[in-house]
Amino acid sequence: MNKIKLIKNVLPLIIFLWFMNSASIGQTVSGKVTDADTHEELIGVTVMVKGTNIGVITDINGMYKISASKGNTLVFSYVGKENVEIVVTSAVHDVALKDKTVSIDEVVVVGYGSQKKESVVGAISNVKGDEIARISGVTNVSNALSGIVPGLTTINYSGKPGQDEAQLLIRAKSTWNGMEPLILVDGIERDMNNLDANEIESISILKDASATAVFGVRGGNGVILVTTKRGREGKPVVRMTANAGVKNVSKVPEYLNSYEARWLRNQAIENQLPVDPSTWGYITPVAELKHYRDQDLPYQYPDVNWQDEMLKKQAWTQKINLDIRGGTKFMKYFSSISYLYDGDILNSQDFGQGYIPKNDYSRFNFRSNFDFLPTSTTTFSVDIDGASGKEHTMGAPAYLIWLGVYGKGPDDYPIRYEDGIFANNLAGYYMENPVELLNYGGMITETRTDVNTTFSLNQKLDFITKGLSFNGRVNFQNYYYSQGPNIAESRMVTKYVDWRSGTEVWNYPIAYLNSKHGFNFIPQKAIIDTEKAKTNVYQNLMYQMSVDYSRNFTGGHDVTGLFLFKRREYSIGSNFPSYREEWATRLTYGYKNTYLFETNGAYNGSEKFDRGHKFGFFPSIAGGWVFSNEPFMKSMKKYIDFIKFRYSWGKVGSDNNIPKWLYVTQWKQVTNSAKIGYPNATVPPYTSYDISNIGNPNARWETATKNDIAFEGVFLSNFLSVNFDYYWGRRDDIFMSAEQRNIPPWFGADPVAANIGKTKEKGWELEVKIRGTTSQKLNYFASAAISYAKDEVIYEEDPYLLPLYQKNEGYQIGQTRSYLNEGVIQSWDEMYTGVMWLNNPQAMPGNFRQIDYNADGYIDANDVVPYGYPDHPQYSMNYSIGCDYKGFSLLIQIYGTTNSTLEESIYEFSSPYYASVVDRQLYNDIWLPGYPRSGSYRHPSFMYFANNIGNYKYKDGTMWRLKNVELAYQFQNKFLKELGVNSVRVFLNGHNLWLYSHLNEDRETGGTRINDNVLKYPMTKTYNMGFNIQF
Amino acid sequence: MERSNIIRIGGILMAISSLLISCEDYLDKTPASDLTEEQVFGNYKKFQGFVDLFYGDKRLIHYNQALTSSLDLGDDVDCNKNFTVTYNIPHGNYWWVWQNYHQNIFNQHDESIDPAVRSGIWTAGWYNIRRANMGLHYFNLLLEATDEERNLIKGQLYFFRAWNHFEIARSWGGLPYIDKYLNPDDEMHLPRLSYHETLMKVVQDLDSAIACLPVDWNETVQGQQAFNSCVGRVTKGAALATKSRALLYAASPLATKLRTGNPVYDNELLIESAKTSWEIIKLAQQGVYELVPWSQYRENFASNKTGSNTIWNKELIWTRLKNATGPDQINNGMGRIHNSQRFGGNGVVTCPTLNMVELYETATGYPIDDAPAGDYNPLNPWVNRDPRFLSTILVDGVKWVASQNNDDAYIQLYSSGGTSASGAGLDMDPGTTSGSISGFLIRKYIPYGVNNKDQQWSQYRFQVPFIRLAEIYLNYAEAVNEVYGPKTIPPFAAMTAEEAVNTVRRRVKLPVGEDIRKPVELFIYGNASLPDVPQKYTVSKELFRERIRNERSVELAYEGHRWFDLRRWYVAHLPKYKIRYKCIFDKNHTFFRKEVLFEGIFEEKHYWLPFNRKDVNQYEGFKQNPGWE
Repeated sequence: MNKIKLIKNVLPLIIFLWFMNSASIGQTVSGKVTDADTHEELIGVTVMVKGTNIGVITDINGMYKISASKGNTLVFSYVGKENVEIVVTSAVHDVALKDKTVSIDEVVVVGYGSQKKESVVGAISNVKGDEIARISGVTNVSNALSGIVPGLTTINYSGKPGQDEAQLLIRAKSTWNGMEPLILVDGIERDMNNLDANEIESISILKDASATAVFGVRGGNGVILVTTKRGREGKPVVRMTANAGVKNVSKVPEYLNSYEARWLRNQAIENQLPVDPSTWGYITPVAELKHYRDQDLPYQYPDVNWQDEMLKKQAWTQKINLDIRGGTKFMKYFSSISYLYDGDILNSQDFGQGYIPKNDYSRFNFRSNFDFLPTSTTTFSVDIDGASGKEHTMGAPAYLIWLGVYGKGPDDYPIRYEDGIFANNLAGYYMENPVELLNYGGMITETRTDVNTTFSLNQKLDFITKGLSFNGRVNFQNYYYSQGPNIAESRMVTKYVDWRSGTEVWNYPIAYLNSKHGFNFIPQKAIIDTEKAKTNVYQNLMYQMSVDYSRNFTGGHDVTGLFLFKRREYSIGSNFPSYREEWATRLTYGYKNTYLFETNGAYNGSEKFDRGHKFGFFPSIAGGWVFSNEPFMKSMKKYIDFIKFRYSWGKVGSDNNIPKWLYVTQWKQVTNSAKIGYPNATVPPYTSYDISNIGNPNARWETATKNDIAFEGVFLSNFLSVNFDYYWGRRDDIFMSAEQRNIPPWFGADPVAANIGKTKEKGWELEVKIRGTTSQKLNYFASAAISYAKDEVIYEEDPYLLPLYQKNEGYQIGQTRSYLNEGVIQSWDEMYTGVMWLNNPQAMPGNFRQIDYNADGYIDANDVVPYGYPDHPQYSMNYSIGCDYKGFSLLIQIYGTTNSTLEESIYEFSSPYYASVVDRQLYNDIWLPGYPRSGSYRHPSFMYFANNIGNYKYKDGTMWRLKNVELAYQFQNKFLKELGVNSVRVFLNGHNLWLYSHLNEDRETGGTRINDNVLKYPMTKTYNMGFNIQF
Repeated sequence: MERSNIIRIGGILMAISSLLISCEDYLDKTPASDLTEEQVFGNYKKFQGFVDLFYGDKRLIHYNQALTSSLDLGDDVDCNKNFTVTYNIPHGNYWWVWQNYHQNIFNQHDESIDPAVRSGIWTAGWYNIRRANMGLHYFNLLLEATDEERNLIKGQLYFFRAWNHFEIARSWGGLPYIDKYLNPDDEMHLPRLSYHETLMKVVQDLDSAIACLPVDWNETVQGQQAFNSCVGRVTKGAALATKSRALLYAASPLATKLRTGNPVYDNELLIESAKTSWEIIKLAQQGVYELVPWSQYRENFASNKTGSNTIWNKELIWTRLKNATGPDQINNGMGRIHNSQRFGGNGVVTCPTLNMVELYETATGYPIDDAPAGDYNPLNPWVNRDPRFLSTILVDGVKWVASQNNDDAYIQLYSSGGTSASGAGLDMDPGTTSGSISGFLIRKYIPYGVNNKDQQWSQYRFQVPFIRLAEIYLNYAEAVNEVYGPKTIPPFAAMTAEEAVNTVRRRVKLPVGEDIRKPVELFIYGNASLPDVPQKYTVSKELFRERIRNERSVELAYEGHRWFDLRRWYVAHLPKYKIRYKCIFDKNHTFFRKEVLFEGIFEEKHYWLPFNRKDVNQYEGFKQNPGWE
């Protein structure tokens, strides 16, 4: 776009306007207006002489000149700032404007519109873009939201660059079908993690039914509305932000070295000897143990710390952003470009293979938001934005690579033998050399490009009736996914030397076998595929129209209304497109800003269901009482700034994760693997059809009924503010897929999915903030937010005869269940006198003793009982404190969760590899008779039926995280001014710097590490340095 | 300026409203689902296409690919790895069936791989029963078909309904017999029938199938279109054979014990079974079936000959044909579990026990513990045995690689005296990480030359037959012996029990100049057959019963019978069958020691597999099998 041209056109106009305004008459009062928090000069502040029409606006240096006489009152007003009134006493008055905490005209983005914060009756949390941008150590928006919004639980599970976004959960989990909230960016459904934080003006998190009812069938899990920055009337402001950071692994499990592991293996074999002599052959003789300990023969008796080999000490991240914002009466603009790079923590190296496999991510973002105002009543906007991300992933099978980080025996083999040949034992289970595999395994490149174009039109229709306006919007979204060019693997010749027998086994890659060079094999250089392996285009067309009405009638009656229609068509490649259609209305009424009433409704549909179940009506009503606006509260104004009570009720739906067209019984042609005929059997000649889906015409969405009652208060001249929400509700018609249902097996097909589940939920959120300024002009603030959320399954088709304690009903979704341990069996006597597992001739002292919960005399599956909490936290807590003083500022944010139970992934000669991998944490807690430090974990065993470890692996999920720390300094001086620089801010910050957790690694989800590339990528901590310049 | 803007706005408005009007049923779009039941079942070809899915069903594939999903679960095997069905069932860990969905012949329904993949006797069984009922439910839609074609379809549907119920019932016991096409809203909380009632329903459906199915598809209009083009589809003989087996199961001590508390045979049912077997033997006498000559015996199970891509002959009454050949069959099929790693095994080895090895008689026809002096030499135990022994079991010292002549070319199953760290042979575990743990390997399904050294596997194929003629003779012998004794011809037939057993034995030819270092393929066989059962064992039905059972075990070894037979005879709990032995010997064969491999667990409850707890907890009428509550 021709931004320069724009600037050229706009600048003179602004200067002209300023000139016009400053040419006033009379005695002159002048001064500078700054921001009380950032000390930046404020441009465009309106300065009025109270009671007159005389007014000016501040210039680009924040200066004003106005003619006024002593004794006059000057009123300074600016959007988002508290008005300041001063009485003229001298010719110079500098003024600092503070942010408004609760202001009459502070506006909150709500579904399909915006409302004055004071009159909002739904449960909405609002985050300003600056707060998001400040957390520059993270690469995506969902992580930035973590720990700053009450009622929003974030669960991080991966540190993989490009895929490290957090799972979001708004309030209580009330379905097992995916609680992903609906996310709209400027009204368009899309992934917010593709946005650059600097583009964001604000984020609204809509939590209750009143706020989300307009989204109907999509609102059940809460809604996140992201609003991007738009142009503002005024001189163009150019900002540049750049930062670079170092990140390293936050926490990974620690394992024993080969001497310790071999020693422990001997202990295990000795202990199990009475019941299983067969492993005696695996004893490591003392002479060999010595070599493991002394490392005098490192090739025969290796001790490799694979983690050190596989993980880098640090990796780099960087981010740079440039944006410009300004506008005239006729046109406003905001443009931004950003680049981000997030480096790989895996230690790939250059061995001359011609490429270095990486798992990194880079992204380029751009955005141009234009508003044209061709007439005084018309706004026409064109928004174009895009993000193009490139993600590299190592080509080697992820599970083999992550074995190198999470479970490779230190004694397997050296990394390379003396002759430089990589070691590799292909004969064993999962015995590939992860170092060789990582570096020679090739690389996959994925590119994701998201381009959005939105045209919107707002036409005021005051000529029909005052306060009426029309809004139309069309959005085209194109999302391109492509894979490639990839780099093919170029494996090396490897070998394995069995030192006992002296045999060498050579492993030749396919390239070698095809090579003419024989033993002079030259490792094949990387082959780069020229073809794109995969491409996919996702296309989205959305159009919406709405009629808005907003009018303040005399006598204090405020009425607003909305009627909206919206359609969306979504297709992936050439697949059958998806459709949505929505109708939404809202009506609000306020009386004297004191009594507030709002009703919302959505009539919307989902193509997923049969006629008669396609469309539904989702209503909500809400009321508010601004107690502090009552006339009798006037006298309390000194102590009470604001008090509001509100209540809402509504119904919203969710069709998340429910497949399309379940209502149709579908036949499809199937491939037959039968073979018929002799002498040459072939596939039978006839076409075969089978039912692929047994229809359920009653399939429908889930319905959530939600209530919210809340208190909002601001006290002591904005020093203290308190918000408290209590909510409760239930969800009906929860979808249960075929796998979740319980019907007799002789039905013979996947059970028919049905909407039969029911849950209920309740919770509360408390947010307390203080802010103030000391007499030394130190601004400080502190806030604490605590959220509690609890759900309960009411019906989930539990088998009727299941013991009550094993039913899901009555427990939370995701309740942890386990055998309970009573301790370690100390002796044979003790073993035979206690309750045993059925058919377990392999039991021995050192095993865990489990509790016979149902007291039937033995341990079996009926003794699995609820233990601890569910896998998601009930409490999440955010604490932050900060201050600023003379250009310095400090911010500390702490995020904590508790009341969850997470499964820890632990290794102890684990099946089926039986590698010498033992968690050090486990080792330090092992029960070994005869050793002074006998702990609470059972005696280890080796290659042998492992006794159930019961609830040992379930850990208290309480976590505390030092989420963000930032120290910044803002320069502001004449010298910079002369250079044309308005302000320079330098900052030093850190993200996820400190962790308190009971798990042996940094993960917010439990469970064993499955073979998932993304899930296994360790989380990182980041240290950042950067600056921000504003011209 | 303003005017043009208004025009533009108006244009956009009009465009949007035209979109609105044009799609009235915006959301009412489904992918064209124009296939109706009438089209699926309307003519013979489509209906047969639907029926043909039974032959491609995943359970059957796993059954005869037998990766680790073997049905050999009795005293005949153990496995060196504890995550297989051939380890867990012999070890009494029946819950394993519900805890593992991978490579589990009873219940394989691996959601993580592909929700549509249903295999395993339980899961695929109920699925096939549903499909059989669906076919019968829509049978009246079959309008474009001749009477013969209608019979073909109907016969197959009844057959598969019966076959799948039988397969489930013989592992889990009595069940509801599902003979209607269940709608999602139908009452499904059905009570379990008794085992006997279930089997009788199976027999009833088989009778319907027998009435409809042809003896030979080549004689139907369909089959005449191309000779042998319908081979592999079920016949009257397959239905009769399944009926013979089902009735024998119903007549066996385990079934009677459930009814009367007394584990004895039921004569009435035995007679019914024997009559059915006799029907098949009559077909054999007419030339429909035959026991293939000894030279072709091994081709019942595996072959690497050219000329055909499948296994089929006149001995096979019912089997699932395959047409896969080549290295994959050894690398991903049988070879993975029947080979040591040296020859392509994947580390998981199903090993024959010494219990099984000891069942093979001497070449003179005597049990080894009752053989005349000199017939059996404990210090040279593998020579001079029933030729089926070396044909079925791979022993130490056999030359296995044709293209090599060093030590590595020979099977190494000794436990000591070798050069490895432990002294054990390279085909032994722990001599290598994956070999035999018993001193033997199964060779029934692997011809000589089919290994990763010789690689003579371009035409290699294998198959585990479901029912072959030899079983029918033995079914007949077992039934007739119990009712009439070894030497009496029953009134409805023309053959004694003794004659039936000897018919199976006479097919086996003795080698000339036996050298156990040679693979059996290189043996020269004379005309002399394995001798008839010695007369000392045919004097009473009790003595002869043991010989019939022995004959059954060796003839049908590793075809998935032994576990079912031991349970059916109600003997599996006896210590003799519970304790599994291995054979320990050195490289030079200076000693042979019988050692306990493991003591299996077999209590009363192990006569039936448990049901999934999730299922039996659904309602009162679905009772768990006793002992598993």
